[in-house]
Amino acid sequence: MTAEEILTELQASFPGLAKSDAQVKDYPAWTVPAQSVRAVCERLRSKFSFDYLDVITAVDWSGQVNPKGYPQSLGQQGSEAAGQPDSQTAQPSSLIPHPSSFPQGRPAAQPAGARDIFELVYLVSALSTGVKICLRCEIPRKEPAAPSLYGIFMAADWQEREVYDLFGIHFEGHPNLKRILTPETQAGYPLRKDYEHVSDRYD
Amino acid sequence: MTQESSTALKTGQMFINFGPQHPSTHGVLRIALTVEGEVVVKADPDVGYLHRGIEKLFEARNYSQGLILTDRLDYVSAMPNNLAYCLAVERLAAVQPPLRAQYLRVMVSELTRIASHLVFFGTFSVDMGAFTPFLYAFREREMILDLFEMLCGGRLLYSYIRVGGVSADCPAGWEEKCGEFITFFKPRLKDYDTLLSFNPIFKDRTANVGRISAAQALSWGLSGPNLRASGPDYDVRKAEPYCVYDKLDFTVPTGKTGSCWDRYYCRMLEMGQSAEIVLQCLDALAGTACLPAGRELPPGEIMAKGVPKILKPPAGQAYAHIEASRGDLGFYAVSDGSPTPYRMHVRGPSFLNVAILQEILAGCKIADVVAVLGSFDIVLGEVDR
Amino acid sequence: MGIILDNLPKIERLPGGGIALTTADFLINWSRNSSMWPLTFGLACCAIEMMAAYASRFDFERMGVFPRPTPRQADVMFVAGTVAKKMAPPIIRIYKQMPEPKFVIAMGGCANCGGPFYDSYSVVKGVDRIIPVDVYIPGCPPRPEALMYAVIKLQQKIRLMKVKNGHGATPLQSAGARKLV
Repeated sequence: MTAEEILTELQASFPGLAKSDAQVKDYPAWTVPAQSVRAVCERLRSKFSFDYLDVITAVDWSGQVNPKGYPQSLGQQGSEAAGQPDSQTAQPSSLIPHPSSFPQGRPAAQPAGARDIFELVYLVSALSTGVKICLRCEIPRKEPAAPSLYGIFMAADWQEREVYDLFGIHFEGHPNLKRILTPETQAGYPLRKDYEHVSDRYD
Repeated sequence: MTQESSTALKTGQMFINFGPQHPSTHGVLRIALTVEGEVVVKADPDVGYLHRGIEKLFEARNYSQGLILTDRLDYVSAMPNNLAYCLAVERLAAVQPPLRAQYLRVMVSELTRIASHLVFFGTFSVDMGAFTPFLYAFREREMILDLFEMLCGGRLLYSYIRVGGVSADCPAGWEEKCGEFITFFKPRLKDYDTLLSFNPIFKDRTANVGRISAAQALSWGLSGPNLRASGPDYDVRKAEPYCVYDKLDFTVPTGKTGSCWDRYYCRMLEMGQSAEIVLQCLDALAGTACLPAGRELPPGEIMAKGVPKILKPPAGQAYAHIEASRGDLGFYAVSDGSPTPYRMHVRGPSFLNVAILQEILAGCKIADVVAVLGSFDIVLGEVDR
Repeated sequence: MGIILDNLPKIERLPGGGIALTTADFLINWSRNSSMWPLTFGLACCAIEMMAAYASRFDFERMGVFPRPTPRQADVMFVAGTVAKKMAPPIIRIYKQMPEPKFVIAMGGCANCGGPFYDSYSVVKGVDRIIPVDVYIPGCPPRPEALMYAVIKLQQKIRLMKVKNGHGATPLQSAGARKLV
């Protein structure tokens, strides 16, 4: 069964399900409303033998808003030099400055299409048929929340904790949603684009 | 004396901190164990002691600078990390590396797989109380590192595979040396079997310990030898062949019971398959293998043409995953058209392999914790990122 | 014993045999630097090179370097890898558990100054911000030979230690360079 056929069959019960405009290269991508993520995955698993959850991750689409406190290093200098021809090598301009001397809060240009949302990305696959589908689900940046896949795919357990830790997205129904990677001293959610690093005792 | 007297023995649960500094956690993993006598009641792995924020750092580097961060994810086998990253970026930028570079990529990935499984073989045997195999494993591993040093100058972290190809062609005499190594290495696998694999003490400690069913393994998202030891033959090299794996002839070893010994032996068999793949790649590079007409591999053609130094892939998203030494390693890349990635997510196989510990360690004997943990062959750099 | 003693400097044999004279500093330092037992403790990539140093080709043990799994039996700590902020408190604790005199070798760019993660939000930019360091090795990762060179450098430093400086510290250490955070 191809991804197209699965999509048409699922759309009967989930009207919000649609093909996504933004494609993930080489994999079919669908958009799913946040509230039906769990139901869609449950159906994919029980009916279409999708037995493997590859990835849960998130993207912050708010653009590079005022990345204060996070050092802007060499890559960002490259973007300032965007007008230069591509073949030109990166200037070996900077002996890398000490972290404390980084410019704080250089206002970055808002990229085209910046929106005030988080996007959750799920990759699920059926190992028997080799079909891999990317589910995309947009949630607001204010009080972001989504249903947890815990129980359908156990692989969701730690991946959701990781997304919670780094993005602050709340997964409803997760039994053990707490920080996993960052230390207790961590303030804020580092992978958000507007993350401001607060110096702690080790900086 | 009655049972109620004050000297009666009492039992209770005890809390043990396993790690973060413990010789057999292979890095800085901490497992909070609750034990009752010898039996583990509850195990709670705690990761993050090596969290370096690599995913955030990708957003502050350009695409070629980001490459060096990938080396430091799974530092025991750095080449496949480079490869997965480059495949993701190449998909974003629609770059097609030349065929010779693809053969070189596959060859170094497989050599790294051998080197990485040798580290597993050495450390796992030390965990199980046998020190000698460690010395043999590292003797062979040093030979592979010598080959890599000839190739790109690095011993551990290489950054050899670049976006668009590889950084250098084989130097003179490299192919012969590599062939010599494989001829030396293949009989060594039999040595390892006699040295450790079928040793009764070793088998007693690992067979039937830490068993994982196929359904459990799939649900928890295990991959690599850890998944295949339980039965499913999912291997990205076969399921979604990348580079030139569809032109190569190899089998995917699987286990039956999903015990520690099966996970161990899957890796042993995989090393033999990797050696075969390396030989096939060497034949192709030397021009003796049958390639389709007009597809010869001219020496020196190792980079795609027209790849700029500062890469600016068009806005878009791509996911590329490969079979790294520890399993299904994926990179999810998002570009907004600027020289830096907008978002780069790493699906580290070890991260998911550690997560299952909380389920299977419960009920184990406390001495088996080390066996189970060692058999997973985790690398904390990839878990914590 | 006699053969070894004859080859050592600063040792004077008295005529008649049976008695040899030397300074206490020399004898103590000699025994210290010929059996430097490091803690089996790896953090990241450099730990693999450290393992390679213990293994077949490099054979660290011929220099008297033999890993001990517990800090209470160790003389020297190789900080081999990136020090993440979550790992900083355990490192300080392990350091405090080691008996005096204790030495620290910072192995690799990360332990020296943060290395490739110099701008990360969760990395301690150099282990010398939390514990005192005796020898720094550059490299990412340093080769096993570099680690051996660091041990040789540390042995040279130990030869300068004097009992009268207290706890066998070097002059600089007795001046108070061992303050912990």
